[in-house]
Amino acid sequence: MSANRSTELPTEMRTRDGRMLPSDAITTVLSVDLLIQILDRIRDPRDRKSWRLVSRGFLRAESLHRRELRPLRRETLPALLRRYVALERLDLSACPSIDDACLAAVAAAAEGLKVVCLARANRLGWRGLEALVAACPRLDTVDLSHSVGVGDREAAALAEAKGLREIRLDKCLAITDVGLAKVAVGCPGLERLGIKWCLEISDIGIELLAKKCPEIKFLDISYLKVTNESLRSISSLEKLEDLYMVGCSFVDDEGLQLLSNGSKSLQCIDVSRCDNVSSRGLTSLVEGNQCLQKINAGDCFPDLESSFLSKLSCVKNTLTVLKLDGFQVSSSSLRVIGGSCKNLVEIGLSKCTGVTDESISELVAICVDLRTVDLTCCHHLTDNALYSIADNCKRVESLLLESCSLITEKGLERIATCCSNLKEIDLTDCGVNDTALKFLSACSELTTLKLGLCSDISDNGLAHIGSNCGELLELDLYRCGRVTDEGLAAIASGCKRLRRLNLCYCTQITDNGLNNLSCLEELSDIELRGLARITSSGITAVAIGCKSLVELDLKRCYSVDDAGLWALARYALNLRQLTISYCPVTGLGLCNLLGSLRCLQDVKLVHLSWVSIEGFELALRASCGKLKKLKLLSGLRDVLSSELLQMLQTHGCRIRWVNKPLVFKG
Amino acid sequence: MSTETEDLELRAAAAAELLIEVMVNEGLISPKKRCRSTKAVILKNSDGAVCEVDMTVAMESSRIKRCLLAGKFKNGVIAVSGSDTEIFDMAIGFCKKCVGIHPTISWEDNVVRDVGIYSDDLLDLISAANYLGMEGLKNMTCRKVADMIKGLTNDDIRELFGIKDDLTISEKKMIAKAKKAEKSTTSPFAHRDATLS
Repeated sequence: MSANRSTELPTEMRTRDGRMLPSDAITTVLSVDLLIQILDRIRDPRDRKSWRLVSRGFLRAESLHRRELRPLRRETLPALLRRYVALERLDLSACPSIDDACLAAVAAAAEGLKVVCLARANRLGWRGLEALVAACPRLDTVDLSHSVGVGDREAAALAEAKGLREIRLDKCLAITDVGLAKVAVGCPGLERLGIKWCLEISDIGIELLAKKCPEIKFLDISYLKVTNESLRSISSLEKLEDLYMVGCSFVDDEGLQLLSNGSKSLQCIDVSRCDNVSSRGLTSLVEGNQCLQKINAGDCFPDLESSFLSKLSCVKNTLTVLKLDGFQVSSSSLRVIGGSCKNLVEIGLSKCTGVTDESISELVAICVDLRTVDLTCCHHLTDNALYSIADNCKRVESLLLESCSLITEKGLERIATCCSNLKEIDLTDCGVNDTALKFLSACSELTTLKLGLCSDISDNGLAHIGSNCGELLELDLYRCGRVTDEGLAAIASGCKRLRRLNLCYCTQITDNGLNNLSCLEELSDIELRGLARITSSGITAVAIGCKSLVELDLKRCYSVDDAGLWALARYALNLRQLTISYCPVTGLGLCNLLGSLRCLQDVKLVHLSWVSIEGFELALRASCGKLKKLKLLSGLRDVLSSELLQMLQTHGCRIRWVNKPLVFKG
Repeated sequence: MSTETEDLELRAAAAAELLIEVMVNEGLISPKKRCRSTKAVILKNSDGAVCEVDMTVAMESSRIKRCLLAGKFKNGVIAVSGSDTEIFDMAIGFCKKCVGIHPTISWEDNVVRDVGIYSDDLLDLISAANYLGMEGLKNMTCRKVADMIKGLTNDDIRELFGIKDDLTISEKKMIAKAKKAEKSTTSPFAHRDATLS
């Protein structure tokens, strides 16, 4: 049953004078509450599963304890809800085709629900929401992001729940001011609202929202076509703490000035990509909100004037996160930033021009508490910058150095020696070599390692990583052509907790490498694009061994055929996202795959030249009701029957038609 | 034998201890500068055994604390029922060790050795800690039992604790089928928790 467990059985429980405990001692001595307290400390899902099968008393303890659930399939929902009577949080975003009837049944069964996530529930309408609101009086959080069918009528249904405190309607394109007004009037206690991308919403809606919901703390109006008038309304929200307005192109400095009314509550503001905002607006923002903790002003305007930077000293006590991506930085800018904000914990200078070693040294000499440093595409940085960071910021956890091609292993050695807390490092396109990996392997807390486009990396380097970085969760080896199966063996033996692995275009990988990977039980996201040498037997090994497999990318794996799809259909039962574009599979394999896997929601099937029209018809019909996203070659649009396309649409599936060439890439 | 005035003094001293504890938590007094009360409390077990402890030690147990503050004792003796002598001694021993310290896991392991807590007493100790309201001891013992259970299959757990298997075959099948349908509970909402209240 559990062949991989290496723990020895502890000695049996005996009383002090050596007798065996009477059976069921644990359940007689300990009440259900205490059993629940013990269960609270058992986090591993496999241990929880063992717990459930012990006895009725244990099962009951677990049923009472379970407060949150994230089911993957619709069919088992009724049984699960009957068992877990104390559920408070339910995430249905992974369940395919949730519709009104299903939601009504769920709500009737789980009346204590407080938090419900219905993201991407494309088939949901107002009837289901009405039922949910009526049956669950304690409902306080609903997430309907990306649900295509949600519009004003659905918002009205939601507004009946007076006690709602958090609503997410991101990308619900059909919501207009009317729907927003209903929500605002119906839920006066609303504290957190996300209406990102709801393009129909205008200043009128925001004005009413601000009047009717004074308790709002979190507001996301990114990408809306709102103007400064909305900011005037928002400035009246006295408890506002987080304001996200990414990409609001109709807002300018006047608007930001309206937001700067001496509020003590605003903590986090994101004005990135607001084209019409300049230094003046940001300056007034900082002057007017002196308790700001996080500022994201990336990609707004090119020139970072020192007048704004020195005004940052108004928030020097509270500012911890500053993101200034895409700016043109002068030699003194970073020194001024450092001088103004000593307490910085996170700094973002991604794609900033003019960042030099000296300016980094000046910054880190003052901001010694930095934990996240984003220097993506700061091309001029050399090892000296790394030396300064290593010497001053010992607590660095996340270092993003993508495209800093001048850094070498010497700089990384210093970082690895001085910053033992390093958890994430991004060295994509940096040209690091195996010696650098040897030094980096000293960071035993490393969880994320990105080495994309580092073609000098070979198996030796990976052996070092595998030997010491046991906490590694994500490894990106995109286009590291010298990696072979041996390197994968080293990683698989040392990094048992690995969850995400990117091996795209590492063309030397063969089935042996995939066999090595099959022992990684937590591996959930694997990208294997362009690996011409792997065949279906390797895929079978991965499907059997990687029990947590959720996302798999096999684009351009020219040797994977139907046998691979059969294996996935049989073993990879948790698979949700699959790309098999350009693979030599036939309609038979495809049909079996789409018919069997009940969790599969997102498939990319571009250029499957061996699949006939009938094959597509059958396969897509077999998958109806489960798929939410589908990517097909645009030529098929005219050839597939309109009945099929209609059926897919009604079942909530979004189809993307693409025009990709059939060229063989190197 | 204490008299009534001494009982009142004890009660007042308990109140003072509580006040000092609150002030330490608020950061008004440095924990190092705090001097321990020298008043002693006598705890009497249901077996009849008595045990004299310092007040600060006794206040670690929230039940004893409530008794002291409410004056539910006579002649300085608080009656504590619910566990036999050895378990009780262990619980008190733990309290003595953990006065004013924030327990870390390695510290707890040391205490386990010193006080002599063994696995066969764990269950009784959890029960005693729950009754006496000693959070630290309850956390530690629950964690110990959880650690014992980790990595075991359901058969092993039954063998360890001597539990009778009372699930029918069809029930087990249903549980096994349902378990495939769920994702782990470790972090279904983790990516949202940053913004969800």
